[in-house]
Amino acid sequence: METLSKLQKSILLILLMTPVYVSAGGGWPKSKGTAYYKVSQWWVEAAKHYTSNGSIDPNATTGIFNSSFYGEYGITDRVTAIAYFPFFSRTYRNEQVSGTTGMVTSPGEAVNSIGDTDIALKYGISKPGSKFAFAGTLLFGLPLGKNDGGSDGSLQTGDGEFNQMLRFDLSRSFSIGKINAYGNIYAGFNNRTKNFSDEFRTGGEVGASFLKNKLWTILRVDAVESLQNGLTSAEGSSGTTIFANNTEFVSYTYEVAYYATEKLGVSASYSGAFSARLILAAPSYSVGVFLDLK
Amino acid sequence: MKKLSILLVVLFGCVGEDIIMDQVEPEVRVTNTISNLEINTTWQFEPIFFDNVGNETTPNEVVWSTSDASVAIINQDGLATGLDYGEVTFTVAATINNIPVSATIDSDVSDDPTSGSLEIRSGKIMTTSSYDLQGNFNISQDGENLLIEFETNYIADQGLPGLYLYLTNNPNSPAGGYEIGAVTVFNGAHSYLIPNVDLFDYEYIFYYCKPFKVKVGHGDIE
Repeated sequence: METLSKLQKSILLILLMTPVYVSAGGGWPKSKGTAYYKVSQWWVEAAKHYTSNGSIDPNATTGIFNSSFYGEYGITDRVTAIAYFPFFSRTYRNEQVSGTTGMVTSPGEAVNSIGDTDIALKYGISKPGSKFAFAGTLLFGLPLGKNDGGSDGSLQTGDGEFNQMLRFDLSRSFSIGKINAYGNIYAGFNNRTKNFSDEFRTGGEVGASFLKNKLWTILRVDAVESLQNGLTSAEGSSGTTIFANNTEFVSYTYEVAYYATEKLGVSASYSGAFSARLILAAPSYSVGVFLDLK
Repeated sequence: MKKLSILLVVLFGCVGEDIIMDQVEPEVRVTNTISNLEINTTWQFEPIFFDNVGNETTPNEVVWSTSDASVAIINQDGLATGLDYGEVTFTVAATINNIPVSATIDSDVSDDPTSGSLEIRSGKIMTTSSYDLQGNFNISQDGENLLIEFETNYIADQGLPGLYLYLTNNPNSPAGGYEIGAVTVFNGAHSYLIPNVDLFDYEYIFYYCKPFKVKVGHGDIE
């Protein structure tokens, strides 16, 4: 079996990691004994990608589908445990068929496994009830996914590297008339191993509630900038890293969450990119069911 | 049932089909053309036939002819014989995928030893994607091997993963081509020595990104 280098294997990693970054609750840690759990489905399918210079080029249609569990639990009023666990991750690539002869020139393939997992601790730096909520989060990325799937090793549900990220969130709630709202900004540094480039991450979001706080609408912007201190994609041909290395993007997400009961709700989101490098060029979607134990 | 199908697609994502537009004109190519045929000697021409995706094929019937039977004759196996001084054109014709194809070889018949018409082929690679790829190349026969030499103006993008180099007879697909290997040089002059490949076996230098299954660029071998 021909084996591609790790670098060649995945354009998708950063997308796999996205759900946890967008669900960390901003600068507010959970109160002691409270929890937030969510089971969701996230997916992307793309026949194009952003190149290393930010242009868009075609690729064989590729998809990733993640079924995941996300949870936050208040250990104390200032310390929250967070976990993101994609218990079923499927990635696939379409078969390539000659438009002239109808013959398959490259067979389609798929890989199923659990995905890369994140665990984190959030600490409320500001006192509970402060006007501005300020928190720091230390996140560990665990390479539990498969990083060498498919006949050429290019299908992945994980990157094969440990990473650790330190992130700070600053949040504030406010009202516009009868509408309750909040805003949050964050910045983080993601240290990656195995010749992956480290990353600077930043972003912000605003959310507003309607229908007596039953319906929340959220607009989020995230940015990732690679420090370009790992190997290049081509250098990875010798087998030391993956294509997700040096990924950069500025993305947006629209999210809607609806509380069907006081604790139980559903959510859906749509994400796209304003600009990007070395990442799939297609929107991603998610739907989920959450339990908010206040 | 429809709702269930949608749910299954959302949850598990089905492997589908991507259609590759890979049609090319069928072709016959004579791999050992000559520019001079020594009088009273013979020369065995060797044609290769390619179908509408650039794969080698065998037509049902091959017809050889000569423009002047008083100068040279040729039998239906492609064996030419020089009879008299002069200029002559040999033609090989066939039908591939219901399309007539032919190739011609212009040659002199003289006292000079029989000689080939071309010893070096060359070309220029160009990107067909957003990734950098450029440079001139020369191809020549080195015994049983094929020598591909890229000039100093060669550049390939290092931001691209899994870049592979092929020799192909289709400018849109590596299927049926010869995989030289992963690209490891991204700047400047370098060369490849390809075993057991002849000068006229392929028409394109072809760059392909394996992880994306997509063409990056190519160069016509002229």
